[in-house]
Amino acid sequence: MSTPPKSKWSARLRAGRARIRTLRRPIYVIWLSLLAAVFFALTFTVNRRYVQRRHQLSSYWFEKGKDSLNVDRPTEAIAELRTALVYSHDDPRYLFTLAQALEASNRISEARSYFLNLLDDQPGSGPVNLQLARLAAKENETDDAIRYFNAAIYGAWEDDPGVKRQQVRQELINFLISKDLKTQARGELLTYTAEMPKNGNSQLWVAQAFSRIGDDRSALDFYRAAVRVNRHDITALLGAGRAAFHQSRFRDALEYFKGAYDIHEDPATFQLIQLVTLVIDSNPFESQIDTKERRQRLLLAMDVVDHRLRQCGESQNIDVNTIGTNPLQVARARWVYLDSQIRHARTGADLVQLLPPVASLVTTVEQQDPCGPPSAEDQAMLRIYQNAEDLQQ
Amino acid sequence: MKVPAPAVIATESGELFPKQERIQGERFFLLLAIFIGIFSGLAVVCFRIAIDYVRITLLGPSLSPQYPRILVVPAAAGIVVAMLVVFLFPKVRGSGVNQTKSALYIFDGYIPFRTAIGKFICSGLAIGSGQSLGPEDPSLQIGASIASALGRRLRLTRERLRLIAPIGAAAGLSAAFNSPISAILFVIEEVIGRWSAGIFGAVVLSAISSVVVTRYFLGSEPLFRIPAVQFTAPSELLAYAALGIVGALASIVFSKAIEILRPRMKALPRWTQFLQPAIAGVIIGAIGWAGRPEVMGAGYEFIDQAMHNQFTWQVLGILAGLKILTTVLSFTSGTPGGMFAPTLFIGAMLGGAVGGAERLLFPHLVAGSIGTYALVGMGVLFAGFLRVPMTSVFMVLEVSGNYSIIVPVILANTIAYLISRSLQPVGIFDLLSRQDGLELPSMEEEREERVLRIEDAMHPVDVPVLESQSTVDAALQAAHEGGAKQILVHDSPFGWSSVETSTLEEIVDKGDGMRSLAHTLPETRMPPIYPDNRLEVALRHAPHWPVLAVMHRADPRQLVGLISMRDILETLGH
Repeated sequence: MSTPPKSKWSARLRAGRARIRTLRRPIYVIWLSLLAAVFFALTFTVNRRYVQRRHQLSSYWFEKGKDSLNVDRPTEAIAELRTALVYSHDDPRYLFTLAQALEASNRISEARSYFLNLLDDQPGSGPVNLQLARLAAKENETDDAIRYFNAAIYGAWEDDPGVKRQQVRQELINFLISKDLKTQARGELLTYTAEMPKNGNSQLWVAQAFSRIGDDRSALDFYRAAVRVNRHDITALLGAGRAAFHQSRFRDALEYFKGAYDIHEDPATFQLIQLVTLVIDSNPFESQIDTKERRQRLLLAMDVVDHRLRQCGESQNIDVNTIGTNPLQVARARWVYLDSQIRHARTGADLVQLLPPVASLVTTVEQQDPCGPPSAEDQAMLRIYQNAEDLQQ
Repeated sequence: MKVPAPAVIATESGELFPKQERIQGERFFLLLAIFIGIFSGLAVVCFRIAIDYVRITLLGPSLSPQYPRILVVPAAAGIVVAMLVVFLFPKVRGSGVNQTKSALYIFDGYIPFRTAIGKFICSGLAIGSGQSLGPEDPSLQIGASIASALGRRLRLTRERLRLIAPIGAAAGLSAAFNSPISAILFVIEEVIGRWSAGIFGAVVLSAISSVVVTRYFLGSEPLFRIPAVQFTAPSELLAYAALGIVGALASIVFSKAIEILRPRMKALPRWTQFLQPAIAGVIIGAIGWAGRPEVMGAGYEFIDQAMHNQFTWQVLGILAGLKILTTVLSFTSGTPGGMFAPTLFIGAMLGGAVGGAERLLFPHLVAGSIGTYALVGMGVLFAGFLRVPMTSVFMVLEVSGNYSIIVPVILANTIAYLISRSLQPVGIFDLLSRQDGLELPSMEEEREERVLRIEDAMHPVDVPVLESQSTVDAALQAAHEGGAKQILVHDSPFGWSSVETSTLEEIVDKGDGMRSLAHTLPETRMPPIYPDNRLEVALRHAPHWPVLAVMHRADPRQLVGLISMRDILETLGH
């Protein structure tokens, strides 16, 4: 076998070197990739343990913070929750609880800052919007509070969204009532009634809310519904009685109060029964009474008013029997005139014509201030004559 | 036997065709930059985990360490760190930025891998045990060290090896800071000092790949949560300007303290080096025990709290002052660790304090939240203390992700930078390198150095200018009439050239005077040179041409002047 000449060997060597040089970089890349894979796996393992450890620590400090908050130690809770956040920077539960702790320790601006940050991340969060609404309510920022309450109602809730939304709406209604925004509160109440569960508690809550905004008619309807659900619900019976009384439906009121008294013999309820009975017995607007009875009832009212006028005169140091421009003296003059008219009225029709001026006089005198605490008779007269138009109808 | 032809056409040196080889080399370098980013990112992830583990193990998991750990741990760890530094890793002292610059400018990109290991261990132990230092600068050095080791292992050329350290530095800083743009800018602004297309791509790739790795492991959340920042009222710029002034003064106090204390600490007997970090640790622990544990460690959690209005402005002011004190003690004691995190901490606290005080004194002026002032304050200290104005602006924008505050950031940072520059002419990194006996180029001074351009040196056209179609006779006549030793020839479309008068005379003597000038010109043409080019451009070509034609950018056939080696030397002052 012949060997190639030396120059050919050196050419082969050079070519081989060139080939190795050509392959050098791909080999480096493979080597680097393998090294990176090993290093990556190592880091991955270390990091997994680290993440587990951080998770343990964050959970531990979070639970500790929550416990402190539950036992009303917000300052400790803040420190603990902050530690929890060191190990879990952006956990919204931790941030939320920390914000609650800050709010509990009256650090309102810090709490708000946390809630607003949470809101940036979850603009539709029901709980965060609710907390912001409560903060705004606490700070008397009515518009913001209403805005956040509404966002909470229409926001996202993880558990029982329907119930949570109803609870928030209840809170909104309470807030609106506390701010004397009765029209808005009534609107929210009507929305609430459309979707509320038909149980006694809800009916009762709605009835009470209607009572607070002065809508006695609606209140009475819901009290009745609550009583239908539970005939032994004293609160509902008393509420229904009061609503009926304010509606001048005295006989209904008496029935409800008696129902409540039968279940629990409360002296306050008994007083209410007495008052309603007095109102019923003193009501000159009753259509089924004769002329004599109507006259007596009017004269009873005049006696009560006379007594009240004297009481007012004494408390204000005014002689009501002398003629003058003081409202009490003017009322006394009207009293003298009307008393004479009642006594000299010949027919029942004459007495009926006197009902409006007597109602006006009774309302004026019984609403005078300051005249001392009103008696049961005073209250009864005011109740009867205040709604004279309703009664006449 | 017939010898087969080689599969690859190779040059004598065994390389492929040089251009192809160069292109492949550049591609490989970019690929290597990605690998550097991956390795640096992984190293920084491990580094951050190590710091946290050390903290949890030594100081306990609570945010406020308890007695006696708070007093004992920083001191004991200080002694261990000092022994490691003295006996095993003497090159890991300091922040690491200057060491990376040294590698670039002095040691041809060489950083021992041992430095990365030492930095990892010593800085991790120091920061984790409560020393008032940060992990960013060590991460920068770890990245540079990994890059240097890889470059050596892959036998890169000397030129590439020099460039590789900044690439690793960008990767390390980017991973530590979770902000690639700021890291890239910092490395270009402070380490490399110039925008160079050759390295820019590699720096960007390494920074991005390291951030991707870090975010994969540690999440994409920033180091601190940024509050809703806003800037609406232009009058509030006055408040931010005041912050710039206060920030500049704080920066000067901070750097002066280091300038004064560091050489004195180094001058103490050698045995004290074992105790210096421990003494610093005792003082820091005592401050923490006395009720201000916020100043211990990097303190990112507390920056977060400052930005969310969780301290009063008085407390913020106290924390800023205490952090300056503790960082000066930690740093000058020779404890390895960085100054980025303390700078951010001081800036945030100072910003919040100034904003809070301004709100109290001038409530109509301060409309934004105090968190916004804390954020701007971080940039102010970056500009005033670290002297990196570009990075300081982009850092705030990148961290906040909000461009609406760009105006106050630029204003406050510029004021801080200018005041700091005028009252303390030498920046902190230059100061440290000079104290260490290294004359590294000052990027700040280079930025402000006057750039000489060709228009500063050129002289008017004083030689005959002819077209290449002209005859040699005509050219010689023009040369004689003008008394010129050479003529300039425009050889369209190839460019400008020149011919010596003596050459023309020789041609005429030979009886070839009717030949066109084109036949007499040398093969190469003058390089295109314009008045706005740097003087170095002309300097590179001047030895090959007696005079160089300075062309008009809009019309290269038109000359605006001539430049010779003599012009260049005269302008340079020789």
